[in-house]
Amino acid sequence: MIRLGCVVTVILGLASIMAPVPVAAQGNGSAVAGAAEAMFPGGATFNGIPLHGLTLGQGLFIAGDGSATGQFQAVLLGTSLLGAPQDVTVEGEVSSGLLAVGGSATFSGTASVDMGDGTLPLLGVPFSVTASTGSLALILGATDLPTASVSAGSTTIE
Amino acid sequence: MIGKKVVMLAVLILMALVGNRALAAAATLVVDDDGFASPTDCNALTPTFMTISAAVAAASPGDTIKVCPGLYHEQVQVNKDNLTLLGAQAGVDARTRPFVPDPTTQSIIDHECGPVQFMADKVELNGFTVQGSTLPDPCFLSGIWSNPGFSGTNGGFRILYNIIQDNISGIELDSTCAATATLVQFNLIQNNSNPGPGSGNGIQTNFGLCNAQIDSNKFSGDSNSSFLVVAPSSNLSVTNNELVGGTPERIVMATTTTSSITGNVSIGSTSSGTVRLFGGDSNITINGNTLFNGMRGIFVDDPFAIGPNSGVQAHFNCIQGNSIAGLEVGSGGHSGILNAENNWWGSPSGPMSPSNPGGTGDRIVDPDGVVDFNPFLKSCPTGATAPRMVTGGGQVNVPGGRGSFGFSAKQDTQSGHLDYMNHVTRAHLNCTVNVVTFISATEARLSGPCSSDSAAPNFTADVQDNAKQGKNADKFMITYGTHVDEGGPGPIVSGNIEIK
Repeated sequence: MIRLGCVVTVILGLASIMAPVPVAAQGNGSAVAGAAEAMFPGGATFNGIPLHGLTLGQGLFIAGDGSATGQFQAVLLGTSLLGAPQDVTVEGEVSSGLLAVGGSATFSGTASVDMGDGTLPLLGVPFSVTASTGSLALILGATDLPTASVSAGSTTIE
Repeated sequence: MIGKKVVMLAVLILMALVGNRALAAAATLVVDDDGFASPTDCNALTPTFMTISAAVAAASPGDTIKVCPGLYHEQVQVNKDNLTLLGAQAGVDARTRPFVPDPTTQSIIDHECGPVQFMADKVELNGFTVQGSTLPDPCFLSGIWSNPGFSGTNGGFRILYNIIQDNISGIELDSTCAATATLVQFNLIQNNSNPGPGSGNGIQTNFGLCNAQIDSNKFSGDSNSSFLVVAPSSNLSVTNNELVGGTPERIVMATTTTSSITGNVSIGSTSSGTVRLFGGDSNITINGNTLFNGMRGIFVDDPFAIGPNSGVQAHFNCIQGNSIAGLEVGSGGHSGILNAENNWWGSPSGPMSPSNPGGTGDRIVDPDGVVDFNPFLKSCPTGATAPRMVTGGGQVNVPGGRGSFGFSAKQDTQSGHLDYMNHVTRAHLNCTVNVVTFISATEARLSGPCSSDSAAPNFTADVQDNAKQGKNADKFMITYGTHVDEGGPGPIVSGNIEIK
């Protein structure tokens, strides 16, 4: 019992070290808004679907205590195994977040994921986004997608 | 045999007499703009009245005039008592039905010199669209006009289930105390702001009103007030109305006695006071109203030296998010104690007031020290809270493809940011939000300047939060440059908008 407690303590300690360094809490928290297009580097896939880019729309507030409220929406632009366009739509509800040193914001929550192949959307999929003015990194379920570079539009973090 | 014939004849005569009497007491006249209809079928080929005015001229007191769908470009002057005019939407709640004029489904009375005048007592107007007053005096200015003093009548009207829109003012509502009760209910009263004397009032009383109930109406887009009383009036009940924000919709009274303002909901009025008593009022109760996000929830003053108000009470109201004050009583605005106990001021700590240290709710401005606000409620009795922030991210349809939007904005600081990108035209907006107006609990309007590399120097966006999952329900429409309401009027195709 005592040993388990030590393990948990160590894990929590490591987690705190590995997490992005938050900016000092601000009175009114932080805000993120964005509407943009971004390009994936070669080799990006999700559930076997090769991806070349995405469009996004996001708007959220991050409080000083790490809670957050807002929306994240993205359409992952892919190609089906038959070579036809296949768009994967992600609709996320943001529940936590933090502002990191360097002007990026990381936020997470759960999303519905519509594979765009006629199957029912997957619900309750955890997601995490690290957004900056020029890039977006998305972890969707167990898939850590490569960082996409913003090619048009903008994201504002303030 | 002769005896039987006599009896039958007597019965027939009696039946005829009874029938004629019934007909005389309650005849139904029919109007259709194509000149053919029956009481049960507007498509019947029976010749009938082509104008409402012709039917009124032919009617007797107590008759009913049924008006089929159509556009009636005429001034309807009702000069016979007890007439009931039933439009095509009689009994259908006007607050939620389509308001774009459609003569195939609505009975539309449209006249630039005033569509309807009541010059008799106990008139009922039910289920019409009344619109189009644009001309000044000697025209009637209002969509529905009454003045018992002018007509030599008393009043006592029933105005039910009507859309009253796009007039100089909506209704000029007056009656004497000898009239039967006046009822104005289930109407949509909107955009009565055409230029002219008295412009911008949904309902106004310039000559006096007695024993009237204004209940369950929706007021929207009237540029001065929802209900304005400026002549001695009494026994008024203003109940359960919705005052849509973004314009100065408000309830304003002067020289009014023994009246109540109860159960009304206003979010985001731009007026100086959502409930305004501006002199000479007495024994007014203001109970159970929701007064969110305006400038002042309740404003009691006497700016025109009419005389101080007195006997004003306010209880069980939910007052939150008003930028100047939840309650302001101007100096000399109220004689005696104004009892404002048991209201929710937007915070469990109570109102912000020098006599309530630590209170963080809406302010009470009370230079004369006449307001009694203790005890105060720790929460709103209805559970409602004023919307404070709006966030959204998603996609909308645009000609030829899709557009993406993302925004976050707060009402208390009037700040936020909005980004938008039309993926077809490549137009992009990177904008600061510096005006956040909550029009209702589910609608907000954002506007502000955009960065120099944006497609336009500024923007306005109207957003709606109609469902927890916003796809196919929430709405996002943005206006920038020459682009008007891009993304609308349909719902978003993915994403969500949340007002909380």
